[in-house]
Amino acid sequence: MTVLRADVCVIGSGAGGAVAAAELAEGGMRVVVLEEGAQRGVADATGRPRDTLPRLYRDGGQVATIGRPPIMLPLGRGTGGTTFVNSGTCFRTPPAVLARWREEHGIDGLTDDCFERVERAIGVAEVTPALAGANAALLRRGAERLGWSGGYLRRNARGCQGSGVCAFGCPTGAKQHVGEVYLPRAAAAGATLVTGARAERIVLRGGRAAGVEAATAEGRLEVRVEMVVVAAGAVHTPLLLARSGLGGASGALGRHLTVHPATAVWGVFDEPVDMSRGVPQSYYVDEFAGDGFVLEGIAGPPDYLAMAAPFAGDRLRELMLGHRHVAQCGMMISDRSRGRVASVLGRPVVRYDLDARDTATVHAGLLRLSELMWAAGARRVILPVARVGELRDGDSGPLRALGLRARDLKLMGFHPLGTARAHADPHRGVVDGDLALHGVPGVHVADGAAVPGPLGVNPQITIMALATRLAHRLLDSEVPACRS
Amino acid sequence: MAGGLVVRRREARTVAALVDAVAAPRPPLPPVAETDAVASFATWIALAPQPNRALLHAALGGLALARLGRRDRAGRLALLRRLGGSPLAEGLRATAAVSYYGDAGVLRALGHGPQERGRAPFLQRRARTVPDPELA
Repeated sequence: MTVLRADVCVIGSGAGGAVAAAELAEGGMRVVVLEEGAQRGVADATGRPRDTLPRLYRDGGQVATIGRPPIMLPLGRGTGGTTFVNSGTCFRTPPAVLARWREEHGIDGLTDDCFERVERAIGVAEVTPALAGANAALLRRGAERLGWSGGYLRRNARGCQGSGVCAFGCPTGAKQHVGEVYLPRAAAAGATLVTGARAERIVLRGGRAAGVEAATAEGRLEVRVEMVVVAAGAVHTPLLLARSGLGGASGALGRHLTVHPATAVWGVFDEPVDMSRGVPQSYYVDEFAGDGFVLEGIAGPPDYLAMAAPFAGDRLRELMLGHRHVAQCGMMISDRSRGRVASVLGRPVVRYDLDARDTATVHAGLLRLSELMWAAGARRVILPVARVGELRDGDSGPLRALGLRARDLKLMGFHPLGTARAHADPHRGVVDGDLALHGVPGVHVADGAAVPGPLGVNPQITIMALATRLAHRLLDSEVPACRS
Repeated sequence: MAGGLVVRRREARTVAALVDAVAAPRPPLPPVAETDAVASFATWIALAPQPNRALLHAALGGLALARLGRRDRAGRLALLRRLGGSPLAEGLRATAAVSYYGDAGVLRALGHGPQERGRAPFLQRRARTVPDPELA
């Protein structure tokens, strides 16, 4: 067995792990990062969905929930985690969510300094209309005609060329994912990154963290430390804690899973759209945030369209031959449904059922999406709904009249959260408001698992800000204020 | 290749028939045999986690037993629909679709050549299909 000694072992190198590792290493701690996947870089990003989905995503991009309906959970695997393959959308935690966290969960200190420090590091800026492309322009046109609130999204990119394939790895290296920004900082500050290392168990001695045991291709590895930061993601963090006999006392471990159920519609226009050109996710509509959903433009190359659109046979061929005239817009809901993650034969099994209220929210969102497409000038709207595949001539009636069932929907969940949630009360949360495991000194959680409930917006900035705050609390320092 | 990393010859015929039914190529689009769609599909299976891989092999076996390759396109799609709206059926459909429409020649036929993708040279790279060094 190989033994490494350090102050902190960070498990996972995604949004939470990479940020915590860099901040801790720069603060003077000796850090070892264990990453189960491979080192990722621009060379891995071919921009072709069929090549990158099975390689860059966990389990070949085939992680799905069991439930009604089954929901695909695309999770990144490798350095940078899901930030390597996400759309790069950056929202701060909504103020109302922060207020609720303070009052109900004991999470405080997530200040503007935390957000600014992250945003500055990863180059967050609003996408320009020119770079956003025609897909975004159409959605903006529709939203403005309807008088809906919306705008161009903020993203973490520098020198973006609008390659249109963010979700398949940025081919130009413009996306400032944490593997691009924070892991090199961690390495420069002396951190050790071990890829291909699967953390199997957190070791305790004297009732507190003492190390991590991992399996690698070269054999077993033990990292002996005084602190462990778990950041394996909301699906795998609870399983690692459970394997280690930790976090179970609250009854919350593996439970309270939310995923921001998401779907999309496609509009077919007379005018060319060329949605493969520009930033895929670049325009949003928040008019209905109070109703529990937001609309976000999403796009991609033709092969992505072939995969995503619910067609086969002649209908698919006709759609593909006219792909230049297709626009797409997505939606996601702040789910009230709750799922759970458990281990079966050593593999995660995710159970999640969309409840009736959430199904109604998705239904409302789909109606708004079709309204948006009509207002933008679409001739046809293609739906992700089993019993109403398509709308024509500005008529949303068939969708409105549908008694929509959860099982009719084709959904994805890009943001699994909450399976080791933070709560000041040890009977209600796995970690406390400082993300420290209740009852076991030295173990912390710094990923989406600790986020207590849906945010209603993309969570990467929230996770990075939480990791920043955690690192500085472990360093017993304040998060430095950014000076312009 | 050992370890079930590629589809067997009989499975390859089933995959080709499945891809043909889902993609429904007709000029100007090339036939499935002139693309690397089957190899791409095989890569997807090879990189799937073991339980999914076993399920996909079983599904292809079932489709072969149901004489998928001897049916016309409509008959093949009808057979696929009999799997219902299951993740398996959607997975087979989506994989077949992206395997065919992600072929470089098909993309060119759709007017989406390398110059269309972000003006970047990365698309000049040859598509990686099985055997894959990562799987060795």
